[in-house]
Amino acid sequence: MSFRSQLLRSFVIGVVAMILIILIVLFPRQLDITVDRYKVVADYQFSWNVYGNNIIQFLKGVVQDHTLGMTRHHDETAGTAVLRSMSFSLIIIVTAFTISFVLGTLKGILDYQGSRRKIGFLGNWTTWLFQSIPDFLLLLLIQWLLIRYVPSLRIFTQEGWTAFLLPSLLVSIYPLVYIARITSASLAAQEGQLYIKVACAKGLPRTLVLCKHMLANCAGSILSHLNSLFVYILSNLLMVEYFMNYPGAAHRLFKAMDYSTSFGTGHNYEPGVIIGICFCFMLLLLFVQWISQISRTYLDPRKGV
Amino acid sequence: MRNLTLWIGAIMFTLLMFVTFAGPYLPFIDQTLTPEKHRWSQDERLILPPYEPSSHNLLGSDKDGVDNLSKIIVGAKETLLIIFSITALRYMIAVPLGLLAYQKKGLANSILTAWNQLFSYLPTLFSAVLLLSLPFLLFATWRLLWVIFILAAIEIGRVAYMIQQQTYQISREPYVEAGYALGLRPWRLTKSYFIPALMPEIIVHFCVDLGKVTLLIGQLGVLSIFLSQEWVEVGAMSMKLMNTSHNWMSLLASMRADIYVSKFTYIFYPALAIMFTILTFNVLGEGIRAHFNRRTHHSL
Repeated sequence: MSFRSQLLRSFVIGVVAMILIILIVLFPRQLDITVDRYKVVADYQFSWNVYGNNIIQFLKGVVQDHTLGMTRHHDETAGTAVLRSMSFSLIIIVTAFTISFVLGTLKGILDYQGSRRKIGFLGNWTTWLFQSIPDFLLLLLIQWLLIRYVPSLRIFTQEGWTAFLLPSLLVSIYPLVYIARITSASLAAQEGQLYIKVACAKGLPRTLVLCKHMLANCAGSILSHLNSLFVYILSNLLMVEYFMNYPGAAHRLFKAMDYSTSFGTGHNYEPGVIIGICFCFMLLLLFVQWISQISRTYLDPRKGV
Repeated sequence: MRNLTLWIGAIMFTLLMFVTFAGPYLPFIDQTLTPEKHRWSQDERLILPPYEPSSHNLLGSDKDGVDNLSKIIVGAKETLLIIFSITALRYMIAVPLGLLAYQKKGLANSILTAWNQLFSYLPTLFSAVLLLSLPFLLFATWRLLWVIFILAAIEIGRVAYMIQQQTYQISREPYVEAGYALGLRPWRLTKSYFIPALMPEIIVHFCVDLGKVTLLIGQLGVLSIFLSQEWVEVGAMSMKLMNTSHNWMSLLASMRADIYVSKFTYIFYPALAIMFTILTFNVLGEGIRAHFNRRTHHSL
């Protein structure tokens, strides 16, 4: 498949996925709650009319009035809410993405190097152990320790450097381990290849072989995981923002779904906000996908052979 | 003892199975989970729950006086059953789909690619929340089955894609080409050529996926989305979805509010149990992988 049609394909699939998400989000969710003499009865009747109406209303709003509708706060449009929360989250996403990719690759190299020595199991063990701790447990533990032992660190603040650095660090822990695992696995897969033997036979130092020859060959397979890395970051983002009470997009998205234990989907369900934030996430994901596809094509050492 | 990882994994798995099936019959476990509303101390003083950890309640008790350890152990069977059924259902659909699409063309391939790409655009947790809060699922009689199906379906694409890639690679091997040349039927080719070569990879990924599913439903639990629930009246004309099972995820959900009043222990135990389960599956998967790798290295 040619390079350009690959980019186009991911774009088309992105559009289809967006349409599907819009359809799921606009699915009618209102319950009929009535009081039947002495008890409350909830009834749900699906009707195509309501569903169609939802879709038409939404499309009308987007195309004619250029709006996603209102939020639960009546003086705020969904558009501003989306942009505000995205601006909070974007800084976290970008920082976490950079931290996890750079440090993750480094840790992967160290893991691989370590696996050749006696302490090898240490690197791998830390990776598993980290992957096995549920993220909410880790978050709780960190919060608890910080509140208890480092009370001077203000973790719930929304200003100053801790406001975005701490959540970014928390978000990047799991993706970092993920990238480390992939890096060390793809380095290990190169082991014993002829080109490495040649490089070693030339008397090049091991570090040089690792950095210049092996990493260049692994770059493709590591970069192909960029989009799963991004999705990983997004799903971590929800947990971190939820526990830190950070006013970011993932938290806003969950809030807009308005899941309550009283009526399931409550009356404050905000389809506009959900669709808006999903759209932003998708744009970012598409962007990451394109970066990964482009860099894979241009960084491949076999290019032009 | 060369494969230490597999041994540790197997021991942890045995422990998990023992706790799950024999655990409820241990003498210090209260199978019925009866709340103990009050208790008299030795110097005739009234004690109210939650009780501190003691020889009577090894991990203490909750606000109704139900033993914490018993809750976790009684809930283990249901939790593991849910996790296993989600993962098994996922693989039951994904493996045939991946095998059907291994030539990277045809209807099966289109379904697989679309499925994989669609759900890869939104984190699994978001898709799960969005789908599980659909109104007709909230009060559905068979909610748990629906939940299992939806959680399995979200990641079918990813697993099928993995199977497809592996099978495609295998189909390039000389021995499979020999099979083609012999004119074997697709069924025979699948049964005797693909499946035996795929099996190690499937088992390893199955174990890793068990861990992933555990994490996912743990996260759902933290967000108070129950897997099975009932709508009951809790006050005058005010209804609430109440959790109807003892699985660990619902323990997490019901305890979450307690974190804010720094009652950390309640959520800590179920979370720890979840962590142990994930660790078991991860270590076991890694051990099995090492086991199969060792065999291939020997045969070379």
